[in-house]
Amino acid sequence: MDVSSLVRKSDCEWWIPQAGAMRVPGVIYASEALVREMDEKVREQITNVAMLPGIQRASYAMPDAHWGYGFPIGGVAAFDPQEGGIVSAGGVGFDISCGVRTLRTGVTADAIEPLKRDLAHQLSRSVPAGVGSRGRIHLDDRELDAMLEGGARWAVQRGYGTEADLDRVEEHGCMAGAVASSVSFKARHRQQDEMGTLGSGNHYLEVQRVAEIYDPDVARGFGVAVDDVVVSIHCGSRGLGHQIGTEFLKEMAIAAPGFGITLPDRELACAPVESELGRRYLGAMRAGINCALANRQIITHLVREAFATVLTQATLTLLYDVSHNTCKVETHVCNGAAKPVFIHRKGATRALGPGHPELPDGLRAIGQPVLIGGTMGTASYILVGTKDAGRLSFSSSCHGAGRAMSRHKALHTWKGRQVIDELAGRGIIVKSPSSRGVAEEAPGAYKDVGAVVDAADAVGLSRKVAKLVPLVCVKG
Amino acid sequence: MTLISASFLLVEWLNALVYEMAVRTMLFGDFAVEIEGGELRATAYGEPVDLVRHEPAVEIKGATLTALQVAENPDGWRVQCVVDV
Repeated sequence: MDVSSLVRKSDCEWWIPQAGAMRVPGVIYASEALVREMDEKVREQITNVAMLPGIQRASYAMPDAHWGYGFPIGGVAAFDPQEGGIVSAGGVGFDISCGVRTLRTGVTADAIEPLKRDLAHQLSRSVPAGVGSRGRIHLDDRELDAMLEGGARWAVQRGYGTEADLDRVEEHGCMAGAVASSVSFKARHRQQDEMGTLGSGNHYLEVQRVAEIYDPDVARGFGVAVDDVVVSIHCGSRGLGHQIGTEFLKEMAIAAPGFGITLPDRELACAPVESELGRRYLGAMRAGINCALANRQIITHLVREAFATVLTQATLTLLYDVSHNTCKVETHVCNGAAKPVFIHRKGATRALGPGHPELPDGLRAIGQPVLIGGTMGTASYILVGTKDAGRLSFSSSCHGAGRAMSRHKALHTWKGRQVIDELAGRGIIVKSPSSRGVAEEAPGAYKDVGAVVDAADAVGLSRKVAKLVPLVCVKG
Repeated sequence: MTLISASFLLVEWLNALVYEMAVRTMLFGDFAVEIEGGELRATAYGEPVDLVRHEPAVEIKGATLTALQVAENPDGWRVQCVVDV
């Protein structure tokens, strides 16, 4: 992106001045190097979002922002229904509530080392991954309804995990306001056999070692120390979320002119929150969030089963579970007054600061763990939410590295086998049903995740706590 | 049929295929398509996904409206759609 048309407010804060049909300015939080790496399309997309009805304060982009569909990936925008505010299927995206959860294991890296191969084998057998994979669980219509309205809470009630897990999931494991009857037959059909599956693409399950601690006090509060082993799971709402996104995107794109909304890009498909279509989407999208929470909860159970067969001394407890693609109602100060707004985070993480009432007892004094996924060859990070993020970004932060190279180009640059061998040489075991998938996900195809979290830390969207490096990676 | 409704028809057609691929765990490679009066009827021919032989890397989530285009030029029709993976 050409920085000459941006107004630099600080090292990592850039403004796109309000102009033309923009209702608010655009704000990019990133270092100069990261901004220069961003496609010009990112600026265009931030500007387009700023034109949507009822938008509050600014159209924000996180440090890992890249060219998405309609909204940029890494885009954050809030809307007030009292001012004609909208809800957008394009602003949430196809993989509703795709997210990351991290589990502590209670064991250190030296205990895992001799058993790493067995563990990788067991995990890849226990957790279905890849295109067309099916889970062990088949849900009939009644169970699907219960899952869509119960989320991770439903999963725990069915024996997948413990009550204690739920406190460590956004919304305490169950998104309120989900309406199962707003989810179409096709969306339900796509999900019947997909519960407890990772999916493909950038989704993964990793066993990781805590390589570095940046904030010892917060790390202690989170229960992580150098050389601890943790497990991170990255996946979403599978076929159900994709189908909900697909159907509402089209319906909203067609309906928008009827609401008097001019869409600068059809992919910004939206409807007023206060409309039948807006309410119906919110009910379905919240059911999609529950599906993702239930899916990660079931996978957690499968991971615990796999660990129990290899390492009996491990006890897997949930650090936290974050969602990336959501629209949630939260209270924020806009124009000097606190009010509820509909916050779209597309490829962005909610990052609540210390003292926030939503946080469970064990985290309220510290702040929310912000889990940032990297690649199978680099690193992932644990950050902590800040109070400042409320003012800066509606309590939002980055979500990952972001692709630097297309899948097509990655496939022509690397061979899957070569990536697997190189990583094995560095002590990282990769298990995947698709060597082509591994090539497309090669670490070199991604941006530098370290630069992304450094920018988030510098501007105060969240603060660095720990660096995690991969030991075992199960890819879809 | 307008070009706008033609582009939505393209999205609908691709999404119908994405859905059938997902619930049947199949890949399709041959298609007989007829369009008449804004309605598309088609038969898709394919086979069950074979992980070893097909090596599928990513599932398609859905067809997007980004850079969506249906246009007629002197050489025939040109259609374009970005799918989310």
